[in-house]
This record gives sequence, C-alpha cells and structure tokens, in this order.
Amino acid sequence: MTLPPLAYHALVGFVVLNVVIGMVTYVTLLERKFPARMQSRIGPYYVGPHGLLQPIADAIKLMIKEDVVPTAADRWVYNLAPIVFLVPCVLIFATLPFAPGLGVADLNIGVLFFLAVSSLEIVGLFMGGWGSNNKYALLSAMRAVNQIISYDLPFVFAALVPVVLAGSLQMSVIVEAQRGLWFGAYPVIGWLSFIAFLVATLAAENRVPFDILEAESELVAGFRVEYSGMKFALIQLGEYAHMIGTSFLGALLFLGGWLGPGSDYVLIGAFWFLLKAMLVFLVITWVRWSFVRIRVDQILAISWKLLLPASLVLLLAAAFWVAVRGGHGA
Amino acid sequence: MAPERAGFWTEIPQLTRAIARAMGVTFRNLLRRPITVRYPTVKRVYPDRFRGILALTYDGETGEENCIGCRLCEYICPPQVIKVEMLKAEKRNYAKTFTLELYSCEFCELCVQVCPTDAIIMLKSFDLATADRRELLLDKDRLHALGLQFEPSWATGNRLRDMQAPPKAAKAAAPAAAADRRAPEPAAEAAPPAPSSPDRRAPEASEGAPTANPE
Repeated sequence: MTLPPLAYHALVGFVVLNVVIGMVTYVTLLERKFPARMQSRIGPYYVGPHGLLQPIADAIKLMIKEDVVPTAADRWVYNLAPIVFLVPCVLIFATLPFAPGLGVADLNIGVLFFLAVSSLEIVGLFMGGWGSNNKYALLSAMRAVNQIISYDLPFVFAALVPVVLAGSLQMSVIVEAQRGLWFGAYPVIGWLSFIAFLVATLAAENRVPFDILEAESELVAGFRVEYSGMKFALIQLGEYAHMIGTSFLGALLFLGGWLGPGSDYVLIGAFWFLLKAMLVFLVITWVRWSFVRIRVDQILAISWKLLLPASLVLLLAAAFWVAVRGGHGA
Repeated sequence: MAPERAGFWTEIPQLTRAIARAMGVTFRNLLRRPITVRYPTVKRVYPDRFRGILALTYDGETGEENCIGCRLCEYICPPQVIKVEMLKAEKRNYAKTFTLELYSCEFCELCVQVCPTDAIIMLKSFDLATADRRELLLDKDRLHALGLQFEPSWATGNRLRDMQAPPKAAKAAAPAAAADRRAPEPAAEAAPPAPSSPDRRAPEASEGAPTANPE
C-alpha cells in the first residue's frame, strides 16, 4: 500500500460508511421479508423481482416527502437531533475489523470505543423527544433513557466476558483468541453471557419485547412521531445502523468474527463475518415477531434483578477461570 | 414475571419454557409456505353462497328480463337502497326503472330471498372499487350487464325458499297447510332463526309466485 496512512483510512472509512448505509437500506427489506415468512405472508413483492427494489423505492419516497417542522418545536434541537442520533450509530463501525486488516481502525481499546460511542445515541434520541415538544415524544424519550441506562450495564458486562477471556480490548485479538473455540460456544460462561448479551442487545436497541418507547398503542411512534421525510429516514438509518453494528459486535465477540473455512483470504473472512452478523440480526428479528411487549416494571425488574447480577457473576466467573487456568484464549 | 420478590425467581423456569415455545411457533411458521393469494392476478375460489355484487338476470330460454317490477325487494331492503318502478304490460309486468345504491348495500341477501322470479341475484365477485361513488349507483342496464359479466352465486329466491321450507313429508301430511300459507310457520321454526324471521314475509310475497315458477 503506497497510499499515506491518512488517505488510506479516509478511503476505507468512505467505503465502510457507504457499505454500511447500503446494508442498512437492504436490512430493512430483510426485516420485512423474514417476519413475513414467519407469519406465512410474502412481504414486499411487486417493486422489482420479489420486492428487491423496495428499499430503494422507500428511500426515494422518504427523500421527496415534505419536511414538516412543528411550530411549537424547539427548532435547533429538533433539527439537530437526527444527526446527533445518526453519527454515533455510524461511528461504531469505525473499530470493527471486517476481516484481518480490513477495517477503518483496529484500536487497541476497540470494544471500549464501541461501547462508549454506541450508548451516545441516547443523546440524539432524547434531543428528538425533547425538541419535538410533543407529549408522546417526550414520554417516549424518557422511557428510552430509563431503559437504556438500565440495560447498558448488563450489556457492557456481558460484552466484557469475551474481553476477559481473550485478555484484550482489541477486536482482532479477541477474534484470534477464538481460533480454538468460539466464545459463544465456551462452556457455561460463554453460553450464558451470549444469551445475556442478546437480551441486553434487544433492550438497548429498544426492540420487541422491550420496545416500550415506541409502544404504538400509547405513544404512537415514540420519539420520532413528529419527524417526517429525510429526518425520519436519518433516524431510521441510525436505528438500523446501530442494530447492525451491535450484531457485528455480537458476531465478533461470541461467534468468532471472520473465522471459518478459508478465512485466510480477506474476502472469505469478510463473508463469514457478514454471515454471522446477519444471523445475530435474524435472531433479534425472530424474537421481535415471537413476543409481546412487556411492562415497564417488568423490563426494569429483568434488568436490575436478573441480568445485571447474572452478568456480574459471569464476569467474575470468567475472571476466576482465567486466573485459575493461568492464561487467556479459548 | 410478577414484580413480587417471590414470584420473580419461581417463574423463571416457566418463562423460559414459554419463550422456547413462542419462538418455536414462529420458527415452524417460517418453514411453511406463505398462504398469501396474490389477489389481482390470482383469485381464490369463492364459496357457493358468496354474497357479492348484486345483479339482474335474463331468462335462460326466452332471453327476457326476469324482473317483473313487483317491488318486493324494495320493501324488504333494510338499508332501503333499492328503488323500483313497475311497468304494467299485457302478459306480465316489467321494471321500468331499477336502481340499486351499492355503496349503501349491506349485502344481507334478503332481496334475493324474496324475489319471486329469481330476477335479482348475487355474484361471486366484489371488485367494483372506484374513486367515484356515483359509479356504484347501479341502474337497470348496469345491473343486467354485471349479471352477464361475473359468475353468479348459488342462491336464488326459489332455491332459498325451497331450502327453508318444511320438509316435503310434513307438507303432504298436512293438506290444510297448503291451503293456508301461514300454517307451516311452526314447522319452519326448525330453520335457523335469522333467515326465517325475514322469511315470514316471503309467503305473502310468493302468493302469486307458485304459478310463475313451477319448480
């Protein structure tokens, strides 16, 4: 590579950003086709062959829609919120290595960066809820803050179990440590922490059954109720980017990232990584269409009474196991 | 998952089973074929008693209009969407005008039930969707055209009355019943109550009908 490092990173960043946005666009199709089959429906069908052009049609529709700003809204906060919401959601892809050496930046504190930046989305979310000057949006934003603060702790603790097992916060090192055995398959500690990670992901992404912040029956559409057109699209983009990013993190931490047959080649490794991440995403979607929404007190009870102690115990157990065995790696 | 301290832990095994079962249901459905019928291109077979668009019929043999303008359908129609004017003629009467406001029709099939000459029927079709309500104000020509356009449903006035009449044996056993049309009513109570109650008026309606249709 003869390019100067800065140009190289800028180029990779540009490619990754566009790939992510393209993926997000098409994940919305997956999000509609997959549950459609679960309900014995077909899903989008008529735009393009088997509805393959539906996301593009949706994107065009959202772009040409009228952009309405409520008169009572706090204009600055309201207009800024989608961007503040989107940026951290896209930024989390910066530290994800898609294959050995293929990534924007393989920080030595990659997991920490991911966890820190991904929880920043709550700022944009609350700005949107507050700036809309709408009681539904505000209630929804309050619920979201409440829920995300509750679930970030078990999320972080569950994500730290592989970190402890691998002995590093660097994503590529964590993946390489899973060469023998994926951390998701690691007996007991790995299994339980993977489940805890998935549940915490559902809650942190505000997905069913933890989607009280957009409970349609009571809050219409949650904090984005007043957004339309491109701002709405940005918020949706951010949400899906965040979800895919978290799926990628799950695949990295628990499913061995790019490891798989033929993963020495960069492209095959990237393929395995994408496949695993999509599997995590499909599990999240599968849960969404299997359960009903649960109450606020139940959500908080699950977090503080079950998930947080359980993930703490798991983290301690992992640390204890590493100390007893006297070494890292699977 | 009750918020009580005791219930929370004891319910976890039950909750786990419930989660597994719920996700199993969705997964089994994932493996099934979609049951969607792509409507405008594929149409499913409608049942015989389908209650769809109303239409007027022609006589199969002579090609004449069946409607004699007796206005029975107009009288029985609950939302009163049918308006008929009779045209007196030599051999039989005709409907001078026949309008049906399909946009207010409740598709109860009562007009079909009372029709002594099987003139008004329902069709196995419902797609008359339009952006203009006036297109659903059907006149006599439109109703006749619709009857030729779509497949008719099973039900006609005579068939429905035959179905709801007392069994043939009971009719023969009570000759007095044949004389007085109101007599078989107790026997008719065996029929389902909803269709039988509007049918109370049908005997008066079909007073002149038996000669018209010797089926």
